[in-house]
Amino acid sequence: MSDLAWRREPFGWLTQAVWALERAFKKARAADQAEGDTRLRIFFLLALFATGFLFLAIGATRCALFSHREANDYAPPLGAARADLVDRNGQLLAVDLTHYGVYVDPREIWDTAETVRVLGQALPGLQSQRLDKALKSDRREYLMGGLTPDEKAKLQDLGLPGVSFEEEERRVYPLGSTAAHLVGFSDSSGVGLAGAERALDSDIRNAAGREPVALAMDLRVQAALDDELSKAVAKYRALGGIGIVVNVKTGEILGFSSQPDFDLNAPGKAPPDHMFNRGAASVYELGSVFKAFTLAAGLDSGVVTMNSSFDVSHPLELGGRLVHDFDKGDTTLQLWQVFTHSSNIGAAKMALMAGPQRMQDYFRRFGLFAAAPSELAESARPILPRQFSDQTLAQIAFGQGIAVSPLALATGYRSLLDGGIYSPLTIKKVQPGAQPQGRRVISEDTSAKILQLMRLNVTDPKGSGHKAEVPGLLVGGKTGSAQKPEHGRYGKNNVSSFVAVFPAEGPLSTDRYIVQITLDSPQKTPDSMGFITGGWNAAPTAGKVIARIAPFLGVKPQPGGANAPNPIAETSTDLGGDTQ
Amino acid sequence: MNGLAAFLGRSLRGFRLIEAGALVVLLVMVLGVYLAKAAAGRERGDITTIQSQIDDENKRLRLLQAEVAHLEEPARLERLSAQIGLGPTDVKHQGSPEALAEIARNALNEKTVKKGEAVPPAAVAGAPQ
Repeated sequence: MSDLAWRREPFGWLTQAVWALERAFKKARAADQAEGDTRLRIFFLLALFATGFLFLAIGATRCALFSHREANDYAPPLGAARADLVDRNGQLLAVDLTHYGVYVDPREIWDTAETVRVLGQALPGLQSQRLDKALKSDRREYLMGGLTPDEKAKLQDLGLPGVSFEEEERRVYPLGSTAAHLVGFSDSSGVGLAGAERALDSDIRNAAGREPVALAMDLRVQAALDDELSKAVAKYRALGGIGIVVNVKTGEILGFSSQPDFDLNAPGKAPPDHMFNRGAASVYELGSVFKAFTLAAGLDSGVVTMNSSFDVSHPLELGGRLVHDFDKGDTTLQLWQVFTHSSNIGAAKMALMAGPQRMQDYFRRFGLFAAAPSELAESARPILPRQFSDQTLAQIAFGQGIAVSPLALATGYRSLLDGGIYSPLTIKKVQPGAQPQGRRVISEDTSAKILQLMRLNVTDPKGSGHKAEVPGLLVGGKTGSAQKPEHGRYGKNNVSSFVAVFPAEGPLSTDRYIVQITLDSPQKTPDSMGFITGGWNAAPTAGKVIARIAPFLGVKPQPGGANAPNPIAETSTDLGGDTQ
Repeated sequence: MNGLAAFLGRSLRGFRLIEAGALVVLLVMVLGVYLAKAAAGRERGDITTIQSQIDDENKRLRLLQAEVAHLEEPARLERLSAQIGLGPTDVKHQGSPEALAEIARNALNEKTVKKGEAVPPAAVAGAPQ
């Protein structure tokens, strides 16, 4: 038992070895070889120390030769606290650059007056109170930051005693105000405050020092959108404008403009109104652009067909209020004409036929009763009617009585045109082949019909969107003009919109794009013939944007596309249908 | 045991061979560690210098990239283009190389129609039929 006991102890083998050695010593002593015994002990100790030194030497050599490689494994990532932000093609949008902070230590200053004079000249942005306070201190004080390497070098060359520098990372937006509301900005401590900088804050921080974060935005598309929208805002003397370009298939936001905008490098100097993201954070009654949803609900539920017709000869009275049409000469309109003539009476009658419950259900599924599901934190909740009476239902059918953000409208339109599947839009670049998941709202057949109607609204000479036509690019769209509520009642100003899609012909699987333009309070111009409706301002603006961005998106003009026959009009003019 | 004792007992000019050997090994090891450490120190110094240069170059590179992006700011390019009379190409003036023959044929047809005679498609050199 005792022989086996040592095997179970943790260092039994060592104990056993020492005992064996001791027995050898005893045996040597017993053999009267005391000298041999001592030498053996000395040899044993020598071997022990030699082994220890050998291990130490190997360890020291290893540390000396390979220590720097191990240290590099633990080195923090060099450079930025936030990753670069780039567009879908790698164009730089936001970057952390090394700047320098200036410090002053009064204890090292020989000539205070000279230092004050020289610093005042070298740093025009330096506040004199701050400098005075720093010079009266008894320790090293921070003066100001954000010096570029050139500015730092110039100041350093002055050789002022007591003036020193420290590196600091600063977020820089080299494109200034381009896509200001989409890119957003971060504070001096590197926390995203608005736009993509806020929406993708954790992604940007995690990718710091490694790889840039790519937005879905295409800078070429964005630039054309910014340019045409700002020109439209100036031309129509509008309070503001919103432009959104969306890839229908992927849901990527390729362009997002809110005018007026501001310089991202100096957001603190911008008026609050300019910093307001009208595309996501603001809600508007957007008018007749809602008729596409109303018609889609009616067609999808089977309440109406493409052959249905509506009596619009008299205003519709609801709850003591009259619903008029803008074009007052119409008597009976077929369904497609309700769309192209933008008939309020026709749309209201259709909604009443469908009933409040069904219409609410469709509008909810189109995402119009909630904030647009977006990475952008600015996405605003809609303003909904308190109750859904016949009157409010009729109003919503033509886009009044409900205020949604332009971003929510674009999201809803994408589901109309993407085969009836609703899914959120995204500001992040979608990898090729990725299929966005969504829920079905309407059938593919209804989606195709809405696409046809939108195309017809541009090609038909009486269509409200004909000014958006671009030869060969097969533009479709829907206009919208809604009076703005001012001081508790509808005023003279309006919000004009146009939601365009191109190319609006071909199968649903075709790559196509939405261009949505909204102008806040546009005014009359000589070429708008005294009108301020969407067909006269937002529609031509959308057309100009489409003409410029089509080459970037790979959409080539189709010969003869502008003169294509209208299949709906040709087939339905001979069909009577029921007059509502 | 006797063999081991004999080995330990061997000496040369009064010094035991095993002790002399151990001393030599020790000196070689000390020298080796010293040389390795010295070489590593030099290498580390070089690496630090090069790393610092790389960092500086990277900073300059990022600065230059930002400057390039700033110079290519779309609004700035729009302004510069407008100054020399450049602008976006009209969609009517856009076309693919494949469509050039058809464009040429149409243009020729328009010309000849004005003169009162039609031109067959083959009259356009290189036009695909």
